Amino acid sequence: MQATPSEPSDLELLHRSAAGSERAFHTLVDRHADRLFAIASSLTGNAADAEDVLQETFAGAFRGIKKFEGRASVKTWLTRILILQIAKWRRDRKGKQTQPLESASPVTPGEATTTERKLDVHAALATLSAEHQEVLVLREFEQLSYEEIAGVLGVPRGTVESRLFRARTELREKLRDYLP
Amino acid sequence: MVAVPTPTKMTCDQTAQLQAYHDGELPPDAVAAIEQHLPTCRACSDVLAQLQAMSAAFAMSPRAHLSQIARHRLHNEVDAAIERGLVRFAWSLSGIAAAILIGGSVWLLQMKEQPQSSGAAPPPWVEAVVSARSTSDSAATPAAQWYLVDASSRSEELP
Repeated sequence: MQATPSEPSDLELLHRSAAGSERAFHTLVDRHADRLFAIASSLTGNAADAEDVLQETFAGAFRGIKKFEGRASVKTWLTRILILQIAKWRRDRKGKQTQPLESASPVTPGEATTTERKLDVHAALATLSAEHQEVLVLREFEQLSYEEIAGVLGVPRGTVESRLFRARTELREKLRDYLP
Repeated sequence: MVAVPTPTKMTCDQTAQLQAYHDGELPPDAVAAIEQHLPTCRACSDVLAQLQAMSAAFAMSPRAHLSQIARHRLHNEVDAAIERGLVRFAWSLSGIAAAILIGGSVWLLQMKEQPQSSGAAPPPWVEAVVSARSTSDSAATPAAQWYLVDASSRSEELP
């Protein structure tokens, strides 16, 4: 959800929240919850964990609201907190594997319908490393620029480019039966 | 004249350039160079077509949506986080106040237990006051000395 000209910007809402306005923080939550939940779902593979991670993200954002320096946008800042929370979630669940939303079993090509093609992307994504999943989700689903992705992941722009390149090469290999 | 595609082996650098072109991350002059090159190179065209197909597959993929119930739970959790933050802040203030109180009490107790002649070095503010006094004493020195000399000579005269 984006702010319309009559609505306060993300930065204004953040400043009001830092000054103690709970209402402003709830507006900020409403504005970014869907987008962050979609990222979390793609990276955790299940809705329950995505919801937990999202709650931790906003709780963490509130705790650190006074540390926001304004060097990145509020959107980038929140996405970065989410990515850090997902990294924590990965460490915590180390050892116990959860079943992803879509089955990770390979889909046979040939009579690929549109639905099967959709499932393939999620299934193929789930087989990639965490680093490759992150960079692909942020670029392909979120349409973030290289600079924004660098800000979210806390890495140089060049690292984003090379990581994206390797992720796409790997994904292209997994989806080769569907690609021209 | 129709350009004949010439299959050439792609290098990583070229593919990376194509990726940046596909993502709209190239400067205009580099975009022009790629667009001039593409019709003449089958390999680059193929790679670009694959990148576009992959992006299209992502774009067609359904994305998860936050249900109303989940949104409600999220707002409740945010309220709880805000409340925890306020409680933590209140506890921090109480902690600071308690630390100041305890520290002050201990210091006062130590001051009471230590007699002035204990030889312990006085706090800096005491030294400052003493030196100020001694300075003012030295200003009054001629009169004081005259008085003392005069008093002692008188006492010697006494029987």
